[in-house]
Amino acid sequence: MSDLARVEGEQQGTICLVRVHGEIDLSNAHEVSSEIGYAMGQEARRLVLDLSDITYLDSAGVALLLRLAERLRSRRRELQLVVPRGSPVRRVLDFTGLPRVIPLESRLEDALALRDHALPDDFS
Amino acid sequence: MEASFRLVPGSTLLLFTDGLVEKRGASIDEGLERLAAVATGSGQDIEAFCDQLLCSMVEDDTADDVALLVIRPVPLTGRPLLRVPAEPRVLAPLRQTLRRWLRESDADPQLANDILLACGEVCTNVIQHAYGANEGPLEISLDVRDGTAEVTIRDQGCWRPSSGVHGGHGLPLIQELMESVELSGGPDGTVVRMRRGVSDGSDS
Repeated sequence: MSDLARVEGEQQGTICLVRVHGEIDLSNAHEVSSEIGYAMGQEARRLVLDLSDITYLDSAGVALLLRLAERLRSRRRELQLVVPRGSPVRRVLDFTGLPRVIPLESRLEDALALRDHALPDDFS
Repeated sequence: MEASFRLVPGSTLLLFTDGLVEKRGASIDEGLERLAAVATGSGQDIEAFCDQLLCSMVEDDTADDVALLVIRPVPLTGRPLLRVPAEPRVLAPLRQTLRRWLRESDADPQLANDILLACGEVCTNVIQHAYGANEGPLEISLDVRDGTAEVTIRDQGCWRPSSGVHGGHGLPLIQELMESVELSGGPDGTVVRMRRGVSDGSDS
């Protein structure tokens, strides 16, 4: 993994929380995507991807997120992003219309609190 | 041994092998003192600086070989130009330089972020599309004047704004971030010229 970004994953029941720190551009987007894949366990139903500590993300990062969402959807898993309001990353995502495609919360607590609503999905 | 020292723009770092300061019949300390005296009195031009050091310090019959490395950080004022290979690995260092550039130009941080992002998008396009599988250069220059930043990014290949589900965010994003974007392509390459106010309040 290049030192441009760091990926940390943690399992919380059926939720996998993955935090990415640093910068995402063309040079490391694929690497970051693979790291997110490794961090997400087989049993997770939902991936909460916390981008609060991302200081730079451009369209290479947006493409990564769209591909990730598609991949998860095809495996009947959900993707939820956490991006604080007012952060540079939020601005990029808003510009590209990404929040219309991938659910996005400003606060991690809110994303994790959705846990209960996702429960019926576990029995589908 | 490890040490760190901040090189401010205009300062000079001189690295040399011992042949420069060693002289038969004199101590190294004397040699170092002589070097300090010569270096302090030398002018601005870095080539002339090296020539003068070599002329003053090295005698014709010197037994040892001499290597010199002179590094001088230049201030990012005026209209500097960066020329780098169009490869993904240059993106992060380019951003670092642009950040510093914009900071030294007193750009509003939020607007500086927008400019940084727009530059990143254009450079990414150049890296992905300008040269196909071949290598080629990427040039970027920034000029901040009368509260407006003008960035020019140039290559010697050809590329068109990409479209498609995953590749089509670059150009609309650039247009959203900058006040004006001109793209001109020809047989010699592609030039993208973008402008954006850098003072808070001139936000579009």
